[in-house]
Amino acid sequence: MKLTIQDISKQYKDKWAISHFSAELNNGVYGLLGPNGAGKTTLMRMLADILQPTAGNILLDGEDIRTMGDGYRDLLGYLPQHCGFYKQFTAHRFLMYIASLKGQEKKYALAKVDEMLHLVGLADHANRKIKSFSGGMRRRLGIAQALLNDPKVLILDEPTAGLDPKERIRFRNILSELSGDRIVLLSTHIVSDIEYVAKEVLLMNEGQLLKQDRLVTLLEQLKGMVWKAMIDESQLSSLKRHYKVGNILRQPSGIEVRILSKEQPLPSARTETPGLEDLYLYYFNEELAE
Amino acid sequence: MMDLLKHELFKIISRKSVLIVAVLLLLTYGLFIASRSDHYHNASQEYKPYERVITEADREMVLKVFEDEERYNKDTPPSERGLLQDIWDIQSMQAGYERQLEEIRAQLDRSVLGSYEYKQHALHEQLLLEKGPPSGQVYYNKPWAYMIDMIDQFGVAFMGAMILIGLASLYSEEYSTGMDSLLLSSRKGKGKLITAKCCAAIIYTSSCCFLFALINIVVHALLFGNLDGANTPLYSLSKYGDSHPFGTSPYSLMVGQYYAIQLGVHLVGSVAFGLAVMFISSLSASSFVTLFVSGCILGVPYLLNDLFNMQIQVIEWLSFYSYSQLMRVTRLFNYFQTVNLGNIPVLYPVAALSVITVVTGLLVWGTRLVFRKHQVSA
Repeated sequence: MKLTIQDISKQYKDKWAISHFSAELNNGVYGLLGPNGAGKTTLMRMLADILQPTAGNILLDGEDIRTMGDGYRDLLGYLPQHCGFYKQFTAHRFLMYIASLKGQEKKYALAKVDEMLHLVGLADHANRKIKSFSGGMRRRLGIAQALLNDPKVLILDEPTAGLDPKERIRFRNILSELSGDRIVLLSTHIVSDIEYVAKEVLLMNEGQLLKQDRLVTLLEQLKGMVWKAMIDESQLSSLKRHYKVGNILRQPSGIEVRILSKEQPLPSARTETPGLEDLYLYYFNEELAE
Repeated sequence: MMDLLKHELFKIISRKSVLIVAVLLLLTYGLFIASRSDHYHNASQEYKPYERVITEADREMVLKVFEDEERYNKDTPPSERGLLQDIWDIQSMQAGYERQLEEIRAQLDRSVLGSYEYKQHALHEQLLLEKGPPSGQVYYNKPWAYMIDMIDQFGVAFMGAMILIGLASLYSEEYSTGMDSLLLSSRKGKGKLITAKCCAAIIYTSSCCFLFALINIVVHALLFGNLDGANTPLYSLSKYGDSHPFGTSPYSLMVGQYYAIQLGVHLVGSVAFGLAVMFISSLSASSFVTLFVSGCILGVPYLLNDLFNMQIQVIEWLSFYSYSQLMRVTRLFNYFQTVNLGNIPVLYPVAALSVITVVTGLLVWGTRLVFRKHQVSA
């Protein structure tokens, strides 16, 4: 299965939210990284067929998703950033409703709903009204509804927002199990969500794709550019002015900082293995790099 | 499809506001009934002796009672006043019929043969002749008179409120809660879901309509002790001491027949209004805006024309085809009125029902188009 994003753009009044974005996604998990306002949600809405691009096409195995219509949405699972619920519904009824929207037979849907409730750890709360759910529980219910039709294209917009660390680990494991025979695109601010599961990472900013590559390849580019050093308070502000500074950890012996720089920033600095956070800092903090 | 329909119906009726409004309306209905409790009296036995051609002697007897302040005053029970009034009105109804025919024939003479006016007057004459002159008898049909009046007056308010509270959020809530993302990205979200919502709106409206009709008929049957008078002529229908709203109606219908027509047209009007609310809901993310706009569409023509009696042509035209008029039904049948369609006079009930059917069809199509094309961008 191949999802091709072909030179799409989206204009809102005089602002281009997405501009000439092209990418190709095959089976596997793709992480979509970008700062707020980068256009991630707009892109995902277009992929979910709920927003029309101003220009360009989205193709699934060579066929335009607008032409496919119901056929495309039948293969789709979508979790929006702000997922709505009917608060007077129980979790079970809500999923049964989504199942009927996805065209599932009642008998099949009953079994599938139970399976999904177990998968996201809500089986014990199946008959509770959604209005009594916490934010994390609602997010898990949102994930369950997205997976209900065993989608071949799964679009997840900030799926782990509001989940506690234990729930995030559970979600990552679900994602790892699912990713074999489907396309999964997930956007997140929490880089650890995709660090271990993403086949490729798409970096976008200001509506444009900056890079699409395997995570190791992207990190390879940063090799020799990530430094760690112990400094004192007086050095910190000067360091921040001249370099991209990542983690700052205050310790009894001084301040441990992580620095992005092509040359050794301090004589005491030692190179470190680059991580996804370093990558994020590198691409989305341009002004400091100059 | 059936599953979707059940869920859509559940979404409407599981809202607390629907239950609260229904209870409040039924309480108001109870108060309305209580406010005229002295009217709910079974006077069929008192009417029995006069269910024959009324004579001059009967009229003289009534006149004597009218002049006797001890027998005829504000304390006279409504049923007694009603009987006296009904006997008294017979002569004027018969005279009214003759006068109507004379006027129509005079207008026919003045009209150009083949013109719209000529055809209109000819149709009026034909209908009146088919109906025939009033029989000169008194008929007892009070349970039906009060029941029909209740649909005309309170029925519109009941249905209007239930439709507004139940259907204003049909699409608006999907937009405001963010559910539109899930709906539109699902397989059936741009097709069968819209049909299911439309069917749910029709079923909900019809259920409210039948519920009200059922309550109304049971309450009146219990209060009067019977439902006598279904086979009496429509022109004789009146509440105790009231005028005869169908006295000049050109339609030769029995009270029972008219009641069935009233229920049918009331249902059609209510469903049409329900689907109009659905359309407005598909345009707005705010249930309040939908509620307000729809409320104005239902209420403003009624307020301006019926309550404030504003005789401006545009308002009269709006009122002519308004949802409230259609839901009330009475005005469609209580006098002769036609619409000029290519020089052919079309009776008002036929024209109103045709217009509302076309408009409703367009609104349903519009709703489908609006939701299918809806872009989730906020």
